[in-house]
Amino acid sequence: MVYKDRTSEFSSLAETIKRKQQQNGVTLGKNKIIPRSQISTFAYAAAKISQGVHETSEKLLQLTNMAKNTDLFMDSSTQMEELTYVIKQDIQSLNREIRALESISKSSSKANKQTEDHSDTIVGFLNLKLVNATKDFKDILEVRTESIKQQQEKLDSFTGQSNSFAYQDNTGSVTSPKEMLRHRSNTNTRDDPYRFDDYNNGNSNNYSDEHSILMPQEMIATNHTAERLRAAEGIASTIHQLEGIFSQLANLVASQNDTIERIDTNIDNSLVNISRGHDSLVKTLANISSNRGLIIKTFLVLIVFLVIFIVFMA
Amino acid sequence: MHVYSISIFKVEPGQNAILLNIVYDVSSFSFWYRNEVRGVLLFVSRETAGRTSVGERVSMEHAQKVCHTTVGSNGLSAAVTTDSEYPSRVAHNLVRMVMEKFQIAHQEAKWKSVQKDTEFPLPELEGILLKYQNPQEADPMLNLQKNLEETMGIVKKTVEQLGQRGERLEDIAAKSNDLNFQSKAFMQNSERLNKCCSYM
Repeated sequence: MVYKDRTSEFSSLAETIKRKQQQNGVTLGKNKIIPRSQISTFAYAAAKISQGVHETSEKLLQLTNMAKNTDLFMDSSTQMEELTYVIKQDIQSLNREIRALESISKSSSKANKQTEDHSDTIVGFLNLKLVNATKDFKDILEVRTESIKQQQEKLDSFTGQSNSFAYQDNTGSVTSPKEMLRHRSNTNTRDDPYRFDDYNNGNSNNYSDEHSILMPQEMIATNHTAERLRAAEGIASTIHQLEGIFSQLANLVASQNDTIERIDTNIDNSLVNISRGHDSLVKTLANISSNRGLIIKTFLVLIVFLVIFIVFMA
Repeated sequence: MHVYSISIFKVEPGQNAILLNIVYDVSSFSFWYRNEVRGVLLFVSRETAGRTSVGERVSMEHAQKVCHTTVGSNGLSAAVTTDSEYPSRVAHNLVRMVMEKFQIAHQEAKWKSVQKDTEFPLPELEGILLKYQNPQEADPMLNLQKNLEETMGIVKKTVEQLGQRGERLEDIAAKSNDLNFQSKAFMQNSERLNKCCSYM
């Protein structure tokens, strides 16, 4: 933590001034323009918060060191869990105190704009520090989860047990440390699976100790809700596929409908054509069959011509 | 996929689990070993149930058999031994259901006080054991999944057949097109013939 926290100096200075004023006398109570008690309360609270943040960051540093010390045989997980819990509590209480501080600074009437600005700045600064501390805390927990996973893999490779467990790694879902302040339950769910797994490991060790006659028993760490979720998701995906297939079906049928209409028009056309052709053929047939009448008529015309020709010649 | 036994215990922390009821299905083992198998199943169930804590779902594997068990808040526990292929979700559902049925059938006061193995008869257990031999039918989710997959298969076949139908329809469309042109030609020809006839 490479910053210089001077709020505590300021607040301690304010306190000494307040004490001096109280020693000086009654003027404190009559001076209603600037409610001094409120300022010093604010300063006192701010001092407390900054102290708390400092302590929390120190504990975080300790936690970092412990998390980095990932040896297979030196497992300080209980200490780390205690420390994690303590740090969580601290951060939560600090959060509450900062909110209270904010409300104090807003509720108290400030005659002086500079004091208002100053108190807002202080609150914002404390908030920022807390947010940074939370961010570091989150990083530490991520590192710790990774190291636990690696430890587990090493353990598995040593003992040959297939302890496959699936715990949900929620670190990706938490984006800002402010959200993490509100969604404390995320870290709880992350803590629980590997506590459960420690318990499982402990249990199976008990078994193999006491019933060494039996073959080594293995505990399958089943996450029941995850399995149910998986089954439900499988069903949902099957239904989704069905939906796709049905839409394909509908498309196919629609295109085939077009094809069928083409076929229909073609056949109607050809029906019309054929019937006309048939008619004309029938007519042709009629013509052919009735040609003799025509020839007779033509010959008659010829004979008439001959008669007229002979009449002319005679 | 086999369920070998369903057993109900009264579990008290620190003590042996007390057997309240057990049904077996050891028909898959050869005749001479059946008694031994029954003993082993009872022993495994008792130990597993006795050592699980309240509200914890446990699936212990031992020699390719798995024992699934849960302990309810009132110390009642049911254990189900299956082979390793049996889906554990279905097994745990079975455990829960058996516990509920037992609680409905026998009041808590009756079995809370027993100190050694007593028989609290639950005749439906045999039927349940038989039903759950086939987890696909017994578990509604698996059933649904199976039905959905059947439907998927049928729909896929339908789509294939539709494709073939489409091909045949295309064929018919082409042929009808040809028919159209030919009939037009025929008509023109015969009309020309008809016209020519008068000339001829």
